[in-house]
Amino acid sequence: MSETDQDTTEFIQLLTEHQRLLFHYIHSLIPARNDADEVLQETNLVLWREYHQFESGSNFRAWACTVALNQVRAFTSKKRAKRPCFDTETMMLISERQEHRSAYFDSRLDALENCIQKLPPRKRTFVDQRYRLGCSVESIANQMGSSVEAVYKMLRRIRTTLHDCVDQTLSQEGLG
Amino acid sequence: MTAWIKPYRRKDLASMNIEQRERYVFLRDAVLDRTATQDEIDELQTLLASSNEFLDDYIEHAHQESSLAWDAHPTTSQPSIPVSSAPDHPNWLWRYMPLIAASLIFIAAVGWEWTTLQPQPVATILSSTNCQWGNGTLPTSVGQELTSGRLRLISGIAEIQFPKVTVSMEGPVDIELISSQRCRLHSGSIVGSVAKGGEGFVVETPRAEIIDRGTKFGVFVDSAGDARLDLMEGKMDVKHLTNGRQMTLDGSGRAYASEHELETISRPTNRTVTDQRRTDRSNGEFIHISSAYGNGDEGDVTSGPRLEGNDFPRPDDALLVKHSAESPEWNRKAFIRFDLSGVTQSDIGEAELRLEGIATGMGYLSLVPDSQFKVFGIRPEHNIPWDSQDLHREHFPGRRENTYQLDDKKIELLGEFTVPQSKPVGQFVLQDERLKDFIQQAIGSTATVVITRVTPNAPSQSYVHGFATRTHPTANPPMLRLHVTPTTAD
Repeated sequence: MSETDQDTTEFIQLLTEHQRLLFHYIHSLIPARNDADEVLQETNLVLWREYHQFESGSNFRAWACTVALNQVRAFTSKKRAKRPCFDTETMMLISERQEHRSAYFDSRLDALENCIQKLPPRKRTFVDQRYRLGCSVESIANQMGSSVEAVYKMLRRIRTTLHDCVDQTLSQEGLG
Repeated sequence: MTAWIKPYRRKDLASMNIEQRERYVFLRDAVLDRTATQDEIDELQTLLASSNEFLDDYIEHAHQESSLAWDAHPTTSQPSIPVSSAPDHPNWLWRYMPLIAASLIFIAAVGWEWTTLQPQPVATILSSTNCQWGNGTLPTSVGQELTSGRLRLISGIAEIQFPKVTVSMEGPVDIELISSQRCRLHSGSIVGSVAKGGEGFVVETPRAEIIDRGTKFGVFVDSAGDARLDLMEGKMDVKHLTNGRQMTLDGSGRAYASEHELETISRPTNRTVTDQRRTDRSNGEFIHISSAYGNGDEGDVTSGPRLEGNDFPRPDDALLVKHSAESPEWNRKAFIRFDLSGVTQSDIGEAELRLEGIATGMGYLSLVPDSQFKVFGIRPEHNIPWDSQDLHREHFPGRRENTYQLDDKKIELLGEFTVPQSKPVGQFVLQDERLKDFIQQAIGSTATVVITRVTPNAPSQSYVHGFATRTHPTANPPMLRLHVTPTTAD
């Protein structure tokens, strides 16, 4: 295996391992899903382009998050006029807090996977419509025969259910 | 692992202005629902900057949203650089740097094809000394790249190099290489050294799985499949495959995974699994004495005058232990008495004190580092009568007159153990010659031990550790495990 091949394999492996984390990180700074997707794509490209600067064995996560933060800032500075978003100061605040408590937030994410599976069927339907199929709230309301406000309420209730479930899980593990 | 403790957090949030709290929730949901105006986002930013509780809550909810979205994310089914979806999501880099993109596609495609279609080398044989290899599925010459498969080393010493992990093995060893990040030790012993970036390397054994967090570690699997895990430096997580129990070893800990149990042994000793088996088979027997036996008892003492009220409900069935120089009034120590009157005159070959940590929900775990606990024995002459009902800050064995503290002259140190910040629950075992000697002296009477924490710099709201009492519905009570041999008359 040539050195280039080895670098490529290592990069793909590291990038794959960190995709989910990067998405969560970017999403916390840019709540809009499509925007977060776009920034993730750009971040991946920059990571690849700059990979030669990455010191093997050092903290890929920290490096990737720094790159992602820069991409988020670049993205929002362009789009800020059109869409509401956080300012740089708040992004830094959110970013630093995630870094400072990364292990804790990671443990919540791990617990969340199970909690999503435990959602009752009706709530699961809303989740599928909204997140899996990417339907707008208006279209879900039409399909389910309810009002837009009722759909928002349901989505917020699901948020609370999941949050409580994670709290409960961590508590049972002695961490909450 | 860092974490907060819910009751405090709830209280903090609850103590905030209710209107402010409601407003925060409204703004948070509006942002996550993407219905927020810039003014509302600005208002939320002010709140996030004002409170870490709000900040944490926002991040937790944002992660939730992204987790739900991630389920349907295209990259989850494309484990390489997700360039193939780029046309659906136009971006400036893609449009303006086609050369980079084209190269990327090519290299990623070649890399991906290579990684999926070809048998991947997962490790290399670095060295072998006096090796006699058994029937395996892999080549055994030095420098040979190894794909997934099985290696059986009958005798000699060999080193295998994974990308970020070096594994040394001394025959007889039966090991299976699964991937560059994972191996399965069927039997024998290996020592692993994990280089930076190699964190997450997994060693499977028949009873438990070890996930390395950047360490040097040893694993020994005996013929029955039981495993002993020795951490030499760094940190590693251990998970029992049958009962699901997990623990984190930190520094220089040891764990033992048998068919049904996963136990830590905090103080490293020279005893090996084989040695233990030998001990089991020798004369004498192991006896277990819990605090529930005979005249045994337990309780804890708070140094200050206040006790928990409705605001801070005390967890049931827990012995509470805390130390913080910042708020000495909330320092706590636990007393346990074991009744040894039923033990006939014996030589104690081995003594262990076993405590099971339970969640207390009191204080912040993130504010207390890995904690050292000291176990003292009350000298027999100062072992005053006490019971859990009358234990009080002005009445406890070993008390220094006119203080709420222990008197050095009335106690003796029996040993120490560590409770990792990440895992305050689970079994903690103290095995120490000093404990053994102390128990030996107390045969025929009772022995009182005190559990204290040594974390003077922990802030006042740091976590309160808890250990199960004899009345706990599921956890094990405080227990002495003694190997006793009847004393023979000369």
